[in-house]
Amino acid sequence: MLVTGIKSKPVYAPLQADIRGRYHLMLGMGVGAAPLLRVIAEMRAASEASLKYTRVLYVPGAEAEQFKTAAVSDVQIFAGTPALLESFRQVLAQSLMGTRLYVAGPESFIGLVMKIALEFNLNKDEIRAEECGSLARRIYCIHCRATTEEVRTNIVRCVGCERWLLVRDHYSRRLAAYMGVMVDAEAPGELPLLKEVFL
Amino acid sequence: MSAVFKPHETFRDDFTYANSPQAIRRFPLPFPEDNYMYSVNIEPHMPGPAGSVTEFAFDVDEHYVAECRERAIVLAAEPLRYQALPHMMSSQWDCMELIMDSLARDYPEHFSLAKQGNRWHWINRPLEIDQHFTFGDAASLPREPLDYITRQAQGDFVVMDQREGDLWTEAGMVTTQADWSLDFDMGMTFKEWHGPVPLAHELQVFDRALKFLLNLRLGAPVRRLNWTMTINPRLDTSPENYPFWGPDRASVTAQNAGDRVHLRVELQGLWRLPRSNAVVFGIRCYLISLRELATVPKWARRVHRVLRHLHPALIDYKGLTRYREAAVAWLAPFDDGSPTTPGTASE
Ligand code: HEM
Repeated sequence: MLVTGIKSKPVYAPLQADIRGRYHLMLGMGVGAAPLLRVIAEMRAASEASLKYTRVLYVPGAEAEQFKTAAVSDVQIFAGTPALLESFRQVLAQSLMGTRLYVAGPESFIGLVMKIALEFNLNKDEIRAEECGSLARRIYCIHCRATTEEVRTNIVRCVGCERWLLVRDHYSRRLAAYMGVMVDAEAPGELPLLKEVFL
Repeated sequence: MSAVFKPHETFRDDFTYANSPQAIRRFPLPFPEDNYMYSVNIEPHMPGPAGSVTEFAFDVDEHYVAECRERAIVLAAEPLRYQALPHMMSSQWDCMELIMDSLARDYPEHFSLAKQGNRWHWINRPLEIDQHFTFGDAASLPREPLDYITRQAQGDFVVMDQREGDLWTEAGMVTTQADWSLDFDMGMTFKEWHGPVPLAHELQVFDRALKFLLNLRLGAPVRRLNWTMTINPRLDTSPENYPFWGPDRASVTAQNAGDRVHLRVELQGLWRLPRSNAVVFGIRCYLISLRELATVPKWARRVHRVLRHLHPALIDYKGLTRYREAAVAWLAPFDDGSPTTPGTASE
């Protein structure tokens, strides 16, 4: 059964420029551009120089052009999330002393960034994140451990074992995924109506 | 009095598990009243009466050998049911020491432990284990210490690191659980892993329990009882294997409920560990069929009433929806409406 109110998913504070940081690393996807551009504008107002020490990693979105005109020193545009995350990993492998991290985009994008941050032992308070865009979920099949991406429906067919899974509200930061559990185990073939719920 | 082991009992396939009359009499009924709701039911883990399940720190009963074999079966198929993050090694040794010290002290006829400095000699007679090793040297044991010792213990164990004002699940041996997954919950905080539990967050149960546990003191362990129901005496009701045990829930009728439906009680103990400052959570599972339970008239009346009036959110969360009515119908003839005395004593 779907239990309401997700207690295992972190709640993030909205993004805000923090010019006490010496470096600023921004990760964004799609509509996540808007909050990042908002932070960039805040930084420009507070300290124009800090933009020289700002780096943006971004998966577009139509908004890619806007970063170019925002006078940020270093903007990298990626074709997809995996490439961006790989680049993020490389950055984390170097020192992050004095760096402020800003993340903006759909919740599954933020989840993947946080998963990597966790692997590098970054405290969750060291990262600011703002969710915007699709609520589509990553679903970890508790039976075969495969992850099904971009799930918008209440039940979904597992890409690994092909069971129909109920999408639960239990979330793991370590796996960056919600739990999927076989929906018709007790009565084979008895599926609830398929509904789009995570839009 | 030491229990006589029943090494051939099974918790799967032909389900030959059963309770002796003595095991029934000492069953830890979790209902002091005729109704049930979540509460912060934590009490000191003080030695209980002789022969009771709380007489010793860890209860070793007639199912010991069979339960250790069942654990080995699960682990052979699914190694990830045991997991430990690298920084938990010191708490693993702590945990091993706690269990070995307790078993050797409380059941000298079954276990012995000799220590000469770091040179330890452990003997487990029921499982025919005789092990010399160096405490603190993982290479001197055939497995990681927590893995090693919990294969020789009944019940699940979860070890939590304490930092940032929270408890973090970072090691565990979980093969006899009531529908939750160590693999999924690894790395979570106290409120994160309790996320799916209904009502209790709103009742402030978890706020208060966490505050209490963060102050848990060395040498002052605590315990609580929790319960659910399971079809057949199946220990491994993991979400991982739900496709295999889920169908059992649809097989219950008012005729077979007495033998199929089992009350599943967890005696949960919590200990502060000395070197690592971690907390170990032991979840010892007891199973009893409704037919066995009904041999105690007061218990039959009480469980009948608890089940009949259980809050709908708990019925749903505990997975009783399909068979609760059958269980209530099976118990009804045992309930003449006469009052029950307070507490869990058999009368
Ligand atoms: C610190 C050690 C503890 C651990 C590792 C632990 C772990 C768990 C887990 C994994 C679940 C299952 C959640 C799910 O559905 O996925 C659970 C359920 C629950 N826990 Fe804990 N718990 C601990 C301590 C406590 C304490 C001290 C309380 C005190 C009130 C408590 C109250 C509950 C309750 C009420 C449930 C729901 C049980 C049910 O209805 O079957 N837990 N716990």
